[in-house]
Amino acid sequence: MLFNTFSFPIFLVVAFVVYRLLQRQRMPRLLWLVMVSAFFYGCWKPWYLILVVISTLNSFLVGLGLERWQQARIRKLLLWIGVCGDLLLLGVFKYGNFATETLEAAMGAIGLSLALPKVPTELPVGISFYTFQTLSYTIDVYKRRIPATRSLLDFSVFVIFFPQLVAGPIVRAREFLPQLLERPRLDQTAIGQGIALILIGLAKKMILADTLSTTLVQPFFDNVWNKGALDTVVTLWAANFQVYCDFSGYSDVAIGAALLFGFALPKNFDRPFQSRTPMEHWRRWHISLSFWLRDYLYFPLGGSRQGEWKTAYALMMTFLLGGLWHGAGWTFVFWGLYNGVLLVLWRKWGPRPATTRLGQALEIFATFNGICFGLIFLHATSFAEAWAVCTALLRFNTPPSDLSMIGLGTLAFAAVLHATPTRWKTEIQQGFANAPAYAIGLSVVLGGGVLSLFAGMARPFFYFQF
Amino acid sequence: MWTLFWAIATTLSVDALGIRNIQPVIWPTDIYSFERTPEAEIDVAIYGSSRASLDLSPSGLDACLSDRLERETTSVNLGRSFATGFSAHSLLTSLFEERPAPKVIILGIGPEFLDETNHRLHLDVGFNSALEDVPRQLLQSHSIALAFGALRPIVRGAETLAIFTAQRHTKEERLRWMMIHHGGGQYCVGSEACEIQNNSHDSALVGRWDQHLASNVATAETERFSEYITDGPLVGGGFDKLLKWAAEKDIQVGVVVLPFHELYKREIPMDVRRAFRGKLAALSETYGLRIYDVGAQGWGQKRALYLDTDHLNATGSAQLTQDVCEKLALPMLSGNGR
Repeated sequence: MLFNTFSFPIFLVVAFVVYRLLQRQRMPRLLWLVMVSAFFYGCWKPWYLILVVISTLNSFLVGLGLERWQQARIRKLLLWIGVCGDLLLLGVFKYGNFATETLEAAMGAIGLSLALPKVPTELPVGISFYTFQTLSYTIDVYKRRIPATRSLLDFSVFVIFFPQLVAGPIVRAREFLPQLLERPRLDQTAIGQGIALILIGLAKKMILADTLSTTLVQPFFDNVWNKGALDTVVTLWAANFQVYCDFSGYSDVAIGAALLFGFALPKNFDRPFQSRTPMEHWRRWHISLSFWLRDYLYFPLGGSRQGEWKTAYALMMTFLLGGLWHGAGWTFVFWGLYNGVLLVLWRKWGPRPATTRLGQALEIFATFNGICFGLIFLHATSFAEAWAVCTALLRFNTPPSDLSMIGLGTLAFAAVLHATPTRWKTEIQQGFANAPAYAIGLSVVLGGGVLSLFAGMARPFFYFQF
Repeated sequence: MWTLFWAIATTLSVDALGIRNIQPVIWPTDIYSFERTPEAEIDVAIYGSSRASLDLSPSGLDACLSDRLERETTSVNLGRSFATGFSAHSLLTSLFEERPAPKVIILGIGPEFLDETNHRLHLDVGFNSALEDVPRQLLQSHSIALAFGALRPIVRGAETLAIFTAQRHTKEERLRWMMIHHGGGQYCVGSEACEIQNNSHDSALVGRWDQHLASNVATAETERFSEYITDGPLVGGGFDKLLKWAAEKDIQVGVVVLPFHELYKREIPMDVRRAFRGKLAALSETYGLRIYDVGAQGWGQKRALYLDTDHLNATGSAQLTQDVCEKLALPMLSGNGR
């Protein structure tokens, strides 16, 4: 079930109304959450639920074991079981075919013919997200950062909670589990703020992201050959804003929906295109994933404490695996490598922070374009395509094609919106929180009507493919 | 509660203002413009799903009928995607509540039209039912999709208001032109402009054959025919209600069983075909329905007549329209239909 379809608001209303009625009864309330979340996820394909159940049970039982046994060897073994169990699921369904195809290609290159069995199914939606959640729980319990939860119900809610199940934010157990112990705050403030975020998120996705996709990005990437520099640059800008509006829109809806149920999810985006360095960009973009990679990969690899080369190595490995997380394909790996190299080079040779407004604007522009260049490898389906786009950047003698005025207008609007102060969004949320109920209701109806203009055939959120 | 209140209030207000049939303009037929054409007597009103919208050309029908009857005739095609007996009844009765009723209604159908419980019904229900239908439709829903469709009238007002305010329904120039000048449908005859229109329509959909094979045909048996129900408590009986209403209004109703390419036809299980024919025969006996079944006439192998496996292209539509004119419409209009 996609957030941007007619069925989602009906589902949300039903889920919320019953949840509110069960407000005072903890176990029925949480059971209801698990049920509606399972229904939500099962709408894609019911058998996906089996994987979530396996992942949930694996991490929950390992967590209990880590509490029960204190001997280092046993704890390490349990950690390996927990981590490998989760990674095995992810590995098979996400990377199984990639691995076999790569091996077949490698064997073919040396003259050996190999036909390996393939995983006969598409990638289960959200597997990358909830696997990282359960992994973080297992590791945090092992490192004694948090106690293991003894409640399978609580843990199930943590894993399967529908707003963030399929595309994040990736929530840490230490942020979420304590919230289950409190009675949810379901007052008008929370509901108003939640509704505001949902409407903002849907607007970003359905109006901005989808328009950029259909008018500029998709037409370009459907046929990348023989394009000129101007088309390519404008499309890459549009692609960057499209991914941002799509993904941050989804995150807003997820955070807003969670607020309706009394849960606070972490912010996932913080005006990333206002970043002055690539490092700052990754602190503002997909924050939950960036911080996950930092805490569970970059820091264990030594972080920035062990000298220049080790820092570079840690950065490269983190971004390489971050790239692989985004997709089972060499272009994704290359995208990760590119961003890792960019960071390493900027750390070593990047300019000193500018003090003038012009200097800062140039830094923002350079960072934005640096990130845009990497997007070529996220969108291209092959290296040949990526190369075609890269060479197009140098083709100045090709006249620009008929770029859609609606697309250009949307891009300009998205850029202007992005430059507005953060407090505007907060003020909208506060406005909704303080508005009378009839005004909120009217806003929902009218806002929903406007959004339906952009619905058409609902386009799935971009990050669902991860 | 306030959201529900405003949603219902918006729907009631929009209905009261007479703003309806806006949304389906972005599907195949500009019914909104049809409602604003002069209330002339209509000889033939065609209805059905997108298949009827493509396969039967009202201007082609008029060209043939005018020639045979030696008078000008007026035909209109009101076909709408995913149509079943449910919308046939609700749309046609509402459109001809105050307008003069057509002399003949021709329904262009396939097996899905008779199954008012099929998986696409929620779209038919969602766009064609009224607020007062919500409780009944909800009780009759036997799937989540149908329940959602049943609730759709509650929000349709807001959607309609947005489309109307943005004047989006007036942006579908081709559909508007087709309805105002050629009675609707997707193909027209009789002018160079029509030829250009038909060619550009088919050119724009040139990849549709392969797409259809990969999507619709590959899933037809499981998605459309795994459960085929034409009678029983789950069925709203829209087709029966339409036929009763037509009898009261002295409107003749004919049915064209539309052709499919062999690749689609073989996905329809034999028991579904038998149930379809059986139901049609029963309706024919009860209501004197005239049926023209194109199925047995070799259409299944003629790839050149198809846009995709269950929709005809301009050439196929012209040929079928001629057949329907001679075998069905003409006898009915000249008094030999009953």
